[in-house]
Amino acid sequence: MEKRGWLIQGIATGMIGSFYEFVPRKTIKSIAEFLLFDINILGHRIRHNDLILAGTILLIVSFVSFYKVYKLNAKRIKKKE
Amino acid sequence: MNKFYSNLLFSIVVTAVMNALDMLYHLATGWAVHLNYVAIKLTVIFLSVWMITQFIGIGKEEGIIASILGPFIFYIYYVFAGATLNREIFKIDEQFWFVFLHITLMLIAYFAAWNFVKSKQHYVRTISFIITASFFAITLDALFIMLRWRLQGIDEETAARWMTFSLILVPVASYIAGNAIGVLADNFINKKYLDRFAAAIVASVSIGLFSKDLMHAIFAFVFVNIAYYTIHSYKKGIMSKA
Repeated sequence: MEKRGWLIQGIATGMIGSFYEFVPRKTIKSIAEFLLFDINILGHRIRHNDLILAGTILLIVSFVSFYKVYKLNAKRIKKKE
Repeated sequence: MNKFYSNLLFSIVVTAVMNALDMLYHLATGWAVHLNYVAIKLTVIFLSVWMITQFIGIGKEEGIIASILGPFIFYIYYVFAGATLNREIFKIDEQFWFVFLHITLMLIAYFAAWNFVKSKQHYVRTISFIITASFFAITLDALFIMLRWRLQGIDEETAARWMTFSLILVPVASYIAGNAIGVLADNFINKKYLDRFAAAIVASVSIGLFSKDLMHAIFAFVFVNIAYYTIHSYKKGIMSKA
Protein backbone atom coordinates (compact mmCIF):
# COMPACT_ATOMS: atom_id res chain seq x y z
CA MET A 1 0.00 0.00 0.00
CA GLU A 2 1.25 3.50 -0.80
CA LYS A 3 1.32 6.63 1.36
CA ARG A 4 -2.12 7.76 0.21
CA GLY A 5 -3.66 4.40 1.09
CA TRP A 6 -2.15 4.45 4.58
CA LEU A 7 -3.38 8.00 5.09
CA ILE A 8 -6.95 7.15 4.04
CA GLN A 9 -6.88 4.06 6.23
CA GLY A 10 -5.59 6.10 9.19
CA ILE A 11 -8.30 8.74 8.83
CA ALA A 12 -11.14 6.23 8.29
CA THR A 13 -10.20 3.92 11.17
CA GLY A 14 -9.45 6.91 13.40
CA MET A 15 -12.91 8.37 12.80
CA ILE A 16 -14.84 5.11 13.26
CA GLY A 17 -12.65 4.08 16.20
CA SER A 18 -13.08 7.44 17.96
CA PHE A 19 -16.84 7.28 17.39
CA TYR A 20 -17.19 3.95 19.19
CA GLU A 21 -14.56 4.76 21.81
CA PHE A 22 -15.58 8.24 22.91
CA VAL A 23 -19.24 8.73 21.99
CA PRO A 24 -21.64 7.63 24.80
CA ARG A 25 -23.99 4.71 24.10
CA LYS A 26 -27.05 6.95 24.48
CA THR A 27 -25.81 9.32 21.79
CA ILE A 28 -25.04 6.44 19.39
CA LYS A 29 -28.55 5.08 20.03
CA SER A 30 -30.08 8.47 19.28
CA ILE A 31 -28.22 8.65 15.95
CA ALA A 32 -29.26 5.18 14.78
CA GLU A 33 -30.04 2.12 16.85
CA PHE A 34 -28.48 -0.34 14.39
CA LEU A 35 -25.06 1.26 15.07
CA LEU A 36 -25.09 -0.50 18.47
CA PHE A 37 -25.11 -3.97 16.83
CA ASP A 38 -27.47 -5.20 19.51
CA ILE A 39 -27.44 -8.78 18.22
CA ASN A 40 -26.34 -12.28 19.24
CA ILE A 41 -23.35 -13.91 17.56
CA LEU A 42 -22.92 -17.61 18.40
CA GLY A 43 -24.80 -17.09 21.64
CA HIS A 44 -22.77 -14.05 22.65
CA ARG A 45 -24.61 -10.74 22.88
CA ILE A 46 -22.64 -7.74 21.62
CA ARG A 47 -22.22 -5.48 24.66
CA HIS A 48 -21.03 -1.89 24.81
CA ASN A 49 -17.61 -3.05 26.05
CA ASP A 50 -17.23 -5.13 22.86
CA LEU A 51 -17.91 -2.03 20.76
CA ILE A 52 -15.34 -0.10 22.78
CA LEU A 53 -12.82 -2.90 22.23
CA ALA A 54 -13.52 -2.75 18.47
CA GLY A 55 -13.05 1.04 18.66
CA THR A 56 -9.76 0.54 20.50
CA ILE A 57 -8.52 -1.86 17.82
CA LEU A 58 -9.46 0.64 15.11
CA LEU A 59 -7.56 3.36 16.97
CA ILE A 60 -4.47 1.12 17.01
CA VAL A 61 -4.84 0.58 13.24
CA SER A 62 -5.22 4.33 12.79
CA PHE A 63 -2.16 5.19 14.85
CA VAL A 64 0.00 2.62 13.07
CA SER A 65 -1.20 3.94 9.68
CA PHE A 66 -0.17 7.50 10.59
CA TYR A 67 3.15 6.22 11.89
CA LYS A 68 3.67 4.42 8.58
CA VAL A 69 2.92 7.68 6.71
CA TYR A 70 5.51 9.45 8.88
CA LYS A 71 8.08 6.72 8.15
CA LEU A 72 7.40 6.87 4.39
CA ASN A 73 7.80 10.65 4.48
CA ALA A 74 11.05 10.39 6.41
CA LYS A 75 12.34 7.82 3.93
CA ARG A 76 11.47 10.06 0.98
CA ILE A 77 13.21 13.08 2.53
CA LYS A 78 16.30 10.96 3.27
CA LYS A 79 16.35 9.75 -0.34
CA LYS A 80 16.17 13.33 -1.66
CA GLU A 81 19.15 14.31 0.47
CA MET B 1 11.60 -18.27 7.86
CA ASN B 2 8.46 -16.45 6.85
CA LYS B 3 8.49 -12.77 7.94
CA PHE B 4 4.88 -12.86 9.06
CA TYR B 5 5.46 -15.88 11.29
CA SER B 6 8.59 -14.51 12.97
CA ASN B 7 6.92 -11.11 13.55
CA LEU B 8 3.90 -12.86 15.01
CA LEU B 9 6.04 -14.90 17.41
CA PHE B 10 8.10 -11.84 18.40
CA SER B 11 4.92 -9.89 19.18
CA ILE B 12 3.45 -12.77 21.18
CA VAL B 13 6.64 -13.00 23.25
CA VAL B 14 6.83 -9.24 23.95
CA THR B 15 3.14 -9.16 24.91
CA ALA B 16 3.43 -12.16 27.21
CA VAL B 17 6.61 -10.93 28.92
CA MET B 18 5.09 -7.48 29.52
CA ASN B 19 1.96 -9.04 30.96
CA ALA B 20 3.91 -11.34 33.28
CA LEU B 21 5.92 -8.41 34.65
CA ASP B 22 2.74 -6.40 35.06
CA MET B 23 0.88 -9.27 36.74
CA LEU B 24 3.71 -9.71 39.22
CA TYR B 25 3.70 -6.04 40.08
CA HIS B 26 -0.07 -6.11 40.55
CA LEU B 27 -0.05 -9.18 42.74
CA ALA B 28 2.90 -7.98 44.82
CA THR B 29 1.21 -4.65 45.54
CA GLY B 30 -2.36 -5.86 46.10
CA TRP B 31 -4.02 -4.91 42.78
CA ALA B 32 -6.50 -7.36 41.29
CA VAL B 33 -5.63 -9.67 38.38
CA HIS B 34 -8.42 -11.54 36.63
CA LEU B 35 -8.89 -13.30 33.30
CA ASN B 36 -11.01 -10.67 31.51
CA TYR B 37 -8.56 -7.95 32.47
CA VAL B 38 -5.57 -10.01 31.27
CA ALA B 39 -7.35 -11.00 28.03
CA ILE B 40 -8.07 -7.37 27.08
CA LYS B 41 -4.56 -6.29 27.96
CA LEU B 42 -3.04 -9.15 25.94
CA THR B 43 -5.21 -8.23 22.92
CA VAL B 44 -4.44 -4.51 22.96
CA ILE B 45 -0.71 -4.85 23.65
CA PHE B 46 -0.33 -7.68 21.12
CA LEU B 47 -2.06 -5.74 18.33
CA SER B 48 0.05 -2.64 19.00
CA VAL B 49 3.32 -4.56 18.91
CA TRP B 50 2.37 -6.83 16.01
CA MET B 51 1.06 -4.06 13.75
CA ILE B 52 4.17 -1.93 14.26
CA THR B 53 6.47 -4.95 13.82
CA GLN B 54 4.68 -6.21 10.71
CA PHE B 55 4.07 -2.93 8.87
CA ILE B 56 6.96 -0.79 10.06
CA GLY B 57 9.69 -2.99 11.51
CA ILE B 58 11.68 -4.02 14.57
CA GLY B 59 14.15 -1.59 16.11
CA LYS B 60 14.87 0.94 18.84
CA GLU B 61 12.48 3.62 17.60
CA GLU B 62 9.75 1.09 16.82
CA GLY B 63 10.22 -0.44 20.28
CA ILE B 64 9.78 2.90 22.02
CA ILE B 65 6.71 3.80 19.94
CA ALA B 66 5.11 0.37 20.53
CA SER B 67 5.88 0.67 24.27
CA ILE B 68 4.07 4.00 24.47
CA LEU B 69 1.17 3.13 22.13
CA GLY B 70 0.12 -0.16 23.77
CA PRO B 71 -0.23 1.09 27.38
CA PHE B 72 -1.74 4.42 26.30
CA ILE B 73 -4.43 2.77 24.16
CA PHE B 74 -5.07 0.30 26.95
CA TYR B 75 -5.58 3.21 29.35
CA ILE B 76 -8.09 4.79 26.95
CA TYR B 77 -9.98 1.48 26.80
CA TYR B 78 -10.10 1.31 30.57
CA VAL B 79 -11.41 4.84 30.93
CA PHE B 80 -14.32 4.27 28.54
CA ALA B 81 -15.22 0.60 29.12
CA GLY B 82 -17.67 -0.45 31.81
CA ALA B 83 -16.40 -2.16 34.97
CA THR B 84 -16.24 -5.98 34.95
CA LEU B 85 -15.23 -6.19 38.61
CA ASN B 86 -16.70 -4.44 41.63
CA ARG B 87 -14.30 -1.51 42.04
CA GLU B 88 -15.31 -1.04 45.66
CA ILE B 89 -13.78 -4.42 46.52
CA PHE B 90 -11.01 -4.72 43.94
CA LYS B 91 -8.32 -2.22 43.05
CA ILE B 92 -7.78 -2.01 39.27
CA ASP B 93 -4.97 -0.21 37.47
CA GLU B 94 -7.11 2.52 35.95
CA GLN B 95 -5.20 5.49 37.34
CA PHE B 96 -3.19 7.54 34.87
CA TRP B 97 0.17 6.89 36.56
CA PHE B 98 -0.14 3.20 35.62
CA VAL B 99 0.47 4.23 32.00
CA PHE B 100 4.06 5.09 32.97
CA LEU B 101 4.53 1.81 34.80
CA HIS B 102 3.15 -0.12 31.81
CA ILE B 103 5.43 1.80 29.44
CA THR B 104 8.46 0.89 31.58
CA LEU B 105 7.46 -2.79 31.67
CA MET B 106 6.85 -2.76 27.90
CA LEU B 107 10.30 -1.28 27.32
CA ILE B 108 11.86 -4.04 29.45
CA ALA B 109 9.89 -6.72 27.58
CA TYR B 110 10.57 -5.33 24.09
CA PHE B 111 14.26 -4.71 24.59
CA ALA B 112 14.84 -8.03 26.35
CA ALA B 113 13.29 -9.82 23.36
CA TRP B 114 15.19 -7.61 20.91
CA ASN B 115 18.56 -7.74 22.69
CA PHE B 116 18.46 -11.54 22.77
CA VAL B 117 18.74 -11.39 18.99
CA LYS B 118 20.67 -8.20 18.33
CA SER B 119 23.09 -7.66 21.23
CA LYS B 120 26.78 -8.34 20.54
CA GLN B 121 27.54 -9.01 24.21
CA HIS B 122 27.08 -12.56 25.42
CA TYR B 123 25.97 -11.63 28.96
CA VAL B 124 23.29 -9.25 27.61
CA ARG B 125 21.96 -12.00 25.35
CA THR B 126 21.98 -14.47 28.25
CA ILE B 127 20.15 -12.15 30.67
CA SER B 128 17.69 -11.16 27.94
CA PHE B 129 16.99 -14.80 27.19
CA ILE B 130 16.39 -15.70 30.84
CA ILE B 131 13.99 -12.75 31.25
CA THR B 132 12.17 -13.49 28.00
CA ALA B 133 11.85 -17.27 28.39
CA SER B 134 10.95 -17.16 32.10
CA PHE B 135 8.34 -14.44 31.91
CA PHE B 136 6.80 -15.87 28.76
CA ALA B 137 6.33 -19.19 30.57
CA ILE B 138 4.98 -17.33 33.64
CA THR B 139 2.22 -15.72 31.54
CA LEU B 140 1.27 -19.10 30.07
CA ASP B 141 1.22 -20.53 33.60
CA ALA B 142 -0.95 -17.73 34.98
CA LEU B 143 -3.36 -18.14 32.06
CA PHE B 144 -3.46 -21.88 32.74
CA ILE B 145 -4.35 -21.26 36.40
CA MET B 146 -7.06 -18.70 35.58
CA LEU B 147 -8.53 -20.69 32.68
CA ARG B 148 -8.72 -23.80 34.84
CA TRP B 149 -10.71 -21.90 37.45
CA ARG B 150 -12.99 -20.52 34.73
CA LEU B 151 -13.60 -24.05 33.37
CA GLN B 152 -14.33 -25.26 36.91
CA GLY B 153 -17.07 -22.62 37.09
CA ILE B 154 -15.36 -20.32 39.62
CA ASP B 155 -16.81 -16.82 39.32
CA GLU B 156 -14.63 -13.82 38.47
CA GLU B 157 -14.61 -12.19 41.89
CA THR B 158 -13.62 -15.42 43.68
CA ALA B 159 -10.91 -16.06 41.06
CA ALA B 160 -9.58 -12.50 41.51
CA ARG B 161 -9.47 -13.10 45.28
CA TRP B 162 -7.59 -16.43 44.85
CA MET B 163 -5.05 -14.98 42.44
CA THR B 164 -2.40 -13.84 44.91
CA PHE B 165 1.32 -13.21 44.90
CA SER B 166 2.03 -16.30 47.03
CA LEU B 167 0.20 -18.46 44.46
CA ILE B 168 2.35 -17.25 41.56
CA LEU B 169 5.61 -17.16 43.53
CA VAL B 170 6.40 -20.88 43.07
CA PRO B 171 5.96 -20.81 39.26
CA VAL B 172 8.00 -17.59 39.04
CA ALA B 173 10.93 -19.04 41.01
CA SER B 174 10.67 -22.38 39.16
CA TYR B 175 10.72 -20.90 35.66
CA ILE B 176 13.57 -18.51 36.43
CA ALA B 177 15.63 -21.30 38.06
CA GLY B 178 14.78 -23.70 35.21
CA ASN B 179 15.82 -21.25 32.51
CA ALA B 180 19.02 -20.32 34.36
CA ILE B 181 19.94 -24.01 34.55
CA GLY B 182 19.03 -24.38 30.86
CA VAL B 183 21.44 -21.56 30.00
CA LEU B 184 24.19 -23.17 32.12
CA ALA B 185 23.59 -26.53 30.40
CA ASP B 186 23.84 -24.79 27.03
CA ASN B 187 27.07 -23.00 27.96
CA PHE B 188 28.89 -25.93 29.55
CA ILE B 189 27.58 -29.06 27.82
CA ASN B 190 26.20 -27.58 24.59
CA LYS B 191 24.19 -30.54 23.33
CA LYS B 192 21.19 -29.99 21.12
CA TYR B 193 17.90 -29.76 23.05
CA LEU B 194 19.64 -30.43 26.41
CA ASP B 195 19.11 -26.82 27.52
CA ARG B 196 15.36 -26.84 27.00
CA PHE B 197 15.03 -30.31 28.46
CA ALA B 198 16.97 -29.32 31.60
CA ALA B 199 14.96 -26.09 31.96
CA ALA B 200 11.64 -27.90 31.50
CA ILE B 201 12.51 -30.70 33.94
CA VAL B 202 13.68 -28.29 36.68
CA ALA B 203 10.59 -26.05 36.33
CA SER B 204 8.21 -28.99 36.10
CA VAL B 205 9.64 -30.93 39.08
CA SER B 206 9.84 -27.83 41.22
CA ILE B 207 6.22 -26.84 40.48
CA GLY B 208 5.09 -30.45 40.97
CA LEU B 209 6.83 -30.72 44.35
CA PHE B 210 5.65 -27.41 45.76
CA SER B 211 2.10 -27.35 44.40
CA LYS B 212 1.54 -31.15 44.57
CA ASP B 213 -0.39 -30.81 41.32
CA LEU B 214 0.63 -33.27 38.59
CA MET B 215 -1.37 -31.55 35.85
CA HIS B 216 0.31 -28.22 36.65
CA ALA B 217 3.74 -29.90 36.50
CA ILE B 218 2.98 -31.46 33.09
CA PHE B 219 1.82 -28.12 31.74
CA ALA B 220 4.93 -26.41 33.16
CA PHE B 221 7.06 -28.81 31.11
CA VAL B 222 5.06 -27.91 27.99
CA PHE B 223 5.20 -24.15 28.70
CA VAL B 224 9.01 -24.12 28.93
CA ASN B 225 9.23 -25.95 25.61
CA ILE B 226 6.75 -23.55 23.99
CA ALA B 227 8.85 -20.63 25.29
CA TYR B 228 12.08 -22.11 23.91
CA TYR B 229 10.51 -22.92 20.54
CA THR B 230 8.91 -19.48 20.16
CA ILE B 231 11.99 -17.50 21.16
CA HIS B 232 14.40 -19.48 18.98
CA SER B 233 11.97 -19.36 16.03
CA TYR B 234 11.58 -15.57 16.04
CA LYS B 235 15.34 -15.25 16.50
CA LYS B 236 15.90 -17.34 13.38
CA GLY B 237 13.38 -15.25 11.48
CA ILE B 238 14.92 -11.91 12.49
CA MET B 239 18.47 -13.16 11.80
CA SER B 240 17.50 -14.36 8.34
CA LYS B 241 15.95 -10.94 7.55
CA ALA B 242 19.12 -9.06 8.59
